[in-house]
Amino acid sequence: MSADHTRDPCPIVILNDFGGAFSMGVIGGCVWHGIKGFRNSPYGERGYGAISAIKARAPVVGGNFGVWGGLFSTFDCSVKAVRKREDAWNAVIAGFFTGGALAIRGGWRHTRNSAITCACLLGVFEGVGMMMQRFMAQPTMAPQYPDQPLTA
Amino acid sequence: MSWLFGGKTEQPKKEESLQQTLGFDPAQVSDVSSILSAPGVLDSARLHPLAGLDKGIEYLDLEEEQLNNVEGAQGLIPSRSWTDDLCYGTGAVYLLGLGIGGAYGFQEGVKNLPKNAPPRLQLNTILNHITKRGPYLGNSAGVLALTYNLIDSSLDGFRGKHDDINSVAAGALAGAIFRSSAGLRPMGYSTVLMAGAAGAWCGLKRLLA
Amino acid sequence: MSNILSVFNPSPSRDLAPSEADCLPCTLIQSVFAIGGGIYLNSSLPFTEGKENKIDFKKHPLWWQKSVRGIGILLIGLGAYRFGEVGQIVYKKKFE
Repeated sequence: MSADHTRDPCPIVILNDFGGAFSMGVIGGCVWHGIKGFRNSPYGERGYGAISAIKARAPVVGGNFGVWGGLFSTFDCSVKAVRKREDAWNAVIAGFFTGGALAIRGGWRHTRNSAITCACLLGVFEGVGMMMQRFMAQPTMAPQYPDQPLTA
Repeated sequence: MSWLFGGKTEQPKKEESLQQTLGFDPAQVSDVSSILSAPGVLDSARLHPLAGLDKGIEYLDLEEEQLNNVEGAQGLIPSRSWTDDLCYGTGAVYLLGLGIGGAYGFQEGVKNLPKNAPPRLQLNTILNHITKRGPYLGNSAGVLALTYNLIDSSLDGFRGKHDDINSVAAGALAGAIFRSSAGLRPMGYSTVLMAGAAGAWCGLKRLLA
Repeated sequence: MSNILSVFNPSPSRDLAPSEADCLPCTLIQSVFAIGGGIYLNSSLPFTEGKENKIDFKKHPLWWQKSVRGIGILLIGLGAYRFGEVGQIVYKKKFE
């Protein structure tokens, strides 16, 4: 396969994002709910409490993360296909739709807030990523010496 | 097919490649002057130490281009590393679980349809059942696949190659871990089931490849 | 490559080539997704809560329900349009 990752067809990218987000969610959920279950259990049952909390909650966290990732990726692909362009706005628009779609059951206020928050967050991420990229790619500039020695 | 037809095409190809690297055809050389007079041999543009820079920097994308280089690890989708395997495998199995769970919920919903209710309510009942069953099965299947893929990749890295034994062992281990807190008997069942599923997947991969 | 990672490591912006635009699986997925989403938005599932399928009119005022349903209908339309494009791509591939 070529090194040009951007040409991967959309369904594969969505699958990849979904799986990656799910895995991240499950692993993070294991850590989070393991600690929480451990701390919320009485002495002597802490190991058991941690494991039962992980078993009950970690897959759900993973599922939520996965749904977010898959939905975002699908929206990103769709927006890309509709706009026929690939740039930073795709992620922001996709984030707006994702946040809105996931919050739709919570009412219109919740939907609006969530959509705007999600879009802003993704815009910030995108901006930071761009800045980091520019920062890394910049050639180290030589210090500029004055042409003539300074007259003291 | 090169083992079948390779014998015939090998020879001219070799000569051609020799001609390309030397800049002349070794079979037609009689003396030195004919070499030097051949076009392109003393081309200053090619002999310059910085020749070929216009092609760009090629070594930069070598790392990226490399596919998974563990022996026998090439599956159905081109994967570049174990993280790709993990993502694709987990995502696909989750969606499979979601689909099966959704189908089960669908038939359950159809069975429990309220009698002579408006169609919107009927649709709601079915959707409720689907959303109850689908994600649960999907989550479980996804966690199983995640565990399986993690163990499988670790085994691959440990043994330096990928084969069916790895997959079956990883399946068995994943099944054992998944039901480890439910007691010995369910653990045994899930171990056998997962090992069987991993074996079946290997067979299917062989069949499709 | 993943769309999520490309948020943190954005590739330079560019217009898509026409060969990328008529990608059959992408269009098909989008079509199915749009139709499914439209059906979901048009059911009362986004508004109901609990077992009795009650609708909280404070959380979901009528204008909101109507606009969500409208978006759902738009989505179904988009899905149908994309489905037509799928047919177009298949037709082109078959008869060229």
